[in-house]
Amino acid sequence: MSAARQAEFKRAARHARIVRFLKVALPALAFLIVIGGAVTIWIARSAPDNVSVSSAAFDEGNVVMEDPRMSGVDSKNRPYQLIARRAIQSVDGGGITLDAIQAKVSVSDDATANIRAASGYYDATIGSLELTKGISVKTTNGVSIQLSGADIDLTKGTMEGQGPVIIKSGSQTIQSQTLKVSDSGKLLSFGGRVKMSIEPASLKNEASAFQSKE
Amino acid sequence: QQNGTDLGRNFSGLQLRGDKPIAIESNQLDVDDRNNVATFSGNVSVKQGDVQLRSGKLIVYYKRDAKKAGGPQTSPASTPGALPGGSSQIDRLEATEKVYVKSSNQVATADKAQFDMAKKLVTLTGNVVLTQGDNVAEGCRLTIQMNTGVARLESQSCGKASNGRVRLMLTPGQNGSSSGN
Repeated sequence: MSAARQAEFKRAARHARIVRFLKVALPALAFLIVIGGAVTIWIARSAPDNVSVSSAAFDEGNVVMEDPRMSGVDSKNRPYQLIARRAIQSVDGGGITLDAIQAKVSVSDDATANIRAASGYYDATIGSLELTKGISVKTTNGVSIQLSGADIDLTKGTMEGQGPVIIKSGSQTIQSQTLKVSDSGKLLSFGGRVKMSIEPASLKNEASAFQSKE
Repeated sequence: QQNGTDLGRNFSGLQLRGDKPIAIESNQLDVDDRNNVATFSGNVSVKQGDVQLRSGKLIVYYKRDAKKAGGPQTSPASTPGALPGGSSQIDRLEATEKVYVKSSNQVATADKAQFDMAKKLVTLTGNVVLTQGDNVAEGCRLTIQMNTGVARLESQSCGKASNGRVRLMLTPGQNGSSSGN
């Protein structure tokens, strides 16, 4: 991680301790179809600006928060927002379990992504977020991504996605069993037999470059 | 009456057609978006219509579409870059590790195949074997014009390795007119 990002991360961590109740770092997963594609993953590292909870209660040693909402700006000053149906944190600290996560994050200057994950577990101590039971991402520039689960390392900005992974963008589809994302989205590794299909629509402009004379 | 010796002169079918989907498969796909390179590895297969390429590895070099940076997009759906349409284009492809290229009636095998999209030229090098029916031709370089299918099999001018002669084995086809197309 670059030094600037590290310095910024420390500053955010100190700031975060002020936010007593809930600190959820927000991952943004949006993959644009691969080859030749711009791939961006922005992982928000700055602490949320405002956090709200509709109600909170103690329940057998857990703090249960109903529809936690959190919004802020990511490291590039672009807004993100996260809501969940419920967040449960054990009183003695430790991770936060989230149900029905919905997030809206910017993935490039002109595109945002809507992310849904059935459930997630966030552990601030190691800066990791595990999303499970199905993730779906839709971006405003036409990319849709499905994964069954993902382990995100928020400090390193990496993600290990479990398949089946299906990415659709424009007229192309990629399917694989696994997907590793690193270097903030600049490096992607699809594994476990990859299938990519490119529909004729997007070939038009490519093929028109050389008409066959048959 | 042609006696099937267009072998090595015409490798029809190896054109990128706009009307047929392309299917690519491999064990692994690594995309390095910083250097605009995507590498398919592990029994790679690329199919479009009746043309097929198989190799151990296929590297795709693409270039970012300059206009992508917010300028007016030519393609209406400014879908993010994609192979090979979308807003970034393929520059060239390089297939290595036992390359097998099959078009409607001809098969070429070689150590390496390079597809130069700008020049629309495919170049196969290293132990090139071209077969059509029973006819087999060997040489050390086969160049194919992607838009016309015109092919040229060379042996002399490409390096010292082989003794340089094209070995062309023509078996007089029993059905006589096996001119191939």
